[in-house]
Amino acid sequence: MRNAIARNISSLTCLLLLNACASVTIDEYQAADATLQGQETVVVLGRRHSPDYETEPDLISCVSKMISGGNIQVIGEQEFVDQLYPWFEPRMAPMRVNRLSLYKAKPQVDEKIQSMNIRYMVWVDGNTRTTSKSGSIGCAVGVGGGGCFGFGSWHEKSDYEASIWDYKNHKLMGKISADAEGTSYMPAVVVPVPLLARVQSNACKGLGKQLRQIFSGRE
Amino acid sequence: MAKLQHLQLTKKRLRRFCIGLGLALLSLIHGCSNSLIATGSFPTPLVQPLNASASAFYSEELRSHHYIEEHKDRRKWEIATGNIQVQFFDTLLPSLFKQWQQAAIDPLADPTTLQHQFGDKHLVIRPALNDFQYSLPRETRSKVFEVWLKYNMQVYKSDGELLADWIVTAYGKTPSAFLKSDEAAMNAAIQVAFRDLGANLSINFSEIPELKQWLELNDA
Repeated sequence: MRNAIARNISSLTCLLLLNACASVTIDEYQAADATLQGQETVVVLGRRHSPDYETEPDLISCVSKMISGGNIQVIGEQEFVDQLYPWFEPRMAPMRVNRLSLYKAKPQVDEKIQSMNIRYMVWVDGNTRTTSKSGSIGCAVGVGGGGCFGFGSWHEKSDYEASIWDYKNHKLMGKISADAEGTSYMPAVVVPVPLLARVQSNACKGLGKQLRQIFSGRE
Repeated sequence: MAKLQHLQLTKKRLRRFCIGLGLALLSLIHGCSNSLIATGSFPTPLVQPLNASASAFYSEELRSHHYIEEHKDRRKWEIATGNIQVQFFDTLLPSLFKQWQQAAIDPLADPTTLQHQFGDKHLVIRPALNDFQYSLPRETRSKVFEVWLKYNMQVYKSDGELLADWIVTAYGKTPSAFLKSDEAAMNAAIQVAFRDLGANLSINFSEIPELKQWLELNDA
């Protein structure tokens, strides 16, 4: 009896540890070397100007965490945007690298950016969306107990592009694009068991790894 | 004896069923309406303050603004925005002027006191919320809440004369609704809308033609 229970628990644990698959494609274009010198810092920002979508804050946070470490210091997005309010709000944020010269011309803005030692701004544009869904799961609760039964799946797609701007020289240093997709499954036999493809997470890892390589100067 | 035990068991099951049904009904009723007192904190704008003295007056209508959804086809929302409006303008407006006076004098009701206290070169800002609109995830088929604000900004001189009057709009949507309650997601959208309003006002305030002219005249 105990062996049977132990077997069931270990099977369930193995199932939970399994992730559904996701594929990631990374493309990179680098115009010039973008390594950090001394106390220079990086800030990762999300594009939120479009009415149809906005770059998820948790993806930006994920990319920032992937990049930071060692000699790479990353300023948090919210901290940067608050300190420079309102110049990086969605309605004010520069859309092209040559617009940075306008910020240089405003002493209080330039001083604030300089005080944070910002050298590179990484603008991430894109989102993760569910492209299709199928199946259904029904759950019921009664006096004697409850449970779920069924099978559901959904396909997700991520498209992100990161642009690296050099604040000091007002130049575009490079672009990285990350496309990921995958299908998640949810079989339910009494208890639903999610098998998630983690598409956004994989896109973040791909972007973060490439950015870290660029800023640390390693190929 | 067996009959008595069977009766007791049936009573227990019936009681459990009634409790379960009651809880289900309660959650259903709760899910049909939402109530929120909007709150938020806002950063001070990084702008060059105008060389002028100013104060703000918030009407009772603004301070106690309460939006109640009346449309039959929409879920009932009650949103109190008085506190967040006062908090927002108290953070934004003082940073736009070199001299800020904390004096809640209505330029329409009491221009004499205003002029006596602050002189001729003083402005009073009187914001008024004209319209508050929102959309819910169910309506837009997306995960986020959206909020639109429409303000009528009025600037008075200290003698009670209206100097400038313009409409300003703002938009905000929930940055991320993941694992948030409806109320928290709506509050986040309202905060973003006020941040957008602050960006609009702080950059464009000094470009309002009547204000710009007044500032140039009084700076000379």
